[in-house]
Amino acid sequence: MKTKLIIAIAMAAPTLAAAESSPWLPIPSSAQVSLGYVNSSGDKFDAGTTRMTLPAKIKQGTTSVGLKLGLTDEFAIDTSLNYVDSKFADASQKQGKMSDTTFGARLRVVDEFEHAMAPTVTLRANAIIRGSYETGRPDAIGDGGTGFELSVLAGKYLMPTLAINGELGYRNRDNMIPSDIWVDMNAGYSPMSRLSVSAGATITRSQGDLDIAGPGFTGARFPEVKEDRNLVKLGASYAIMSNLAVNLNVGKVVSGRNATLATLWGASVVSSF
Amino acid sequence: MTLRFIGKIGLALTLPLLASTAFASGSDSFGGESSDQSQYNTGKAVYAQKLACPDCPLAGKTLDKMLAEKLLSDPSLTAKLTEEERMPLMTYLKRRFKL
Repeated sequence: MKTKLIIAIAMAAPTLAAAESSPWLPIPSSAQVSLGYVNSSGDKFDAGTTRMTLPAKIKQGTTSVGLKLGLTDEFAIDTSLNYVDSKFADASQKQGKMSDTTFGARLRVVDEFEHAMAPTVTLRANAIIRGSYETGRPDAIGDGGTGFELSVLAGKYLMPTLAINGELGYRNRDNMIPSDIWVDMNAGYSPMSRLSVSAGATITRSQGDLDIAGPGFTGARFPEVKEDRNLVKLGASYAIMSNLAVNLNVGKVVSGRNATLATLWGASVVSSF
Repeated sequence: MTLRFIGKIGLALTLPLLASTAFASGSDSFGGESSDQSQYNTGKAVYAQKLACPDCPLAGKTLDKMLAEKLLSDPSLTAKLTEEERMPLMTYLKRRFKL
């Protein structure tokens, strides 16, 4: 019974659809549709400050459908729907549920191409709507938090083929989930017209103070856990057609607090019209 | 025994966090952009950095639909650009001004 409970809790998979992190907005009066898949797996994690090894890997796949609309040259909106499929070792229980949905808006306030020395600066607001999954049960796939994100995005084309960009964001959700602050940094290079590559890192710091198995921790307080993590990532994009690209990405959580040191890979196709 | 149990519970409760690694941050969507979106951004940079910079031929000129049409129709204005620069520029001008 105890083992079943552990496995059931282990399968819980809190997810949160991600925001769009580019300061460069979609083409005015255009739409971009994306279909993507991200796989995450790992068997090591940092519980508080103690690194531990799991008896087996947890695997999770997230399938996402995204839509971005460029309404004007300075304003764009987007949404993302996500379906999560997770399993742990050979546990008989596995699940697939709709995860949280996001609706975002971006407003560019500075255009680097109109102010030679300035970067492009874009403000973003993002609504997070909790998924249809159940909470209050051990195998819930998320924390059940509805909330918002606010971020400032900045980017600069150092050359037509070389760009850097970053994001500073704040996320707040209900259900006693600690707020987060994150910093994202990326560099992208296009060695030829159809191909671009990128490298980046994301640092996330939770404002909570509760560690798993730490003082005051109980299963019911799981959403309150502080989760910090440091992620590095690489990506490549290849244009198959003028309006169709394939993106491949890999990532690794190199350290954290109450976070699994997961390896991630993802693939997506993006088309615009 | 108690410690062992707490350890197992701690272990078990940590596992859920793994799943959030792909999406816990607002920035890890692994999102990409379409090819013409990339071309559009690159073309915008080509215009600003290769044609409209302070020492460039179109310095100080306002890019509007008329100038965009001229750039598209008069190859001499973009003669110094490489093909890898000219194509994104054409994409940018066509999409920006619906030409």
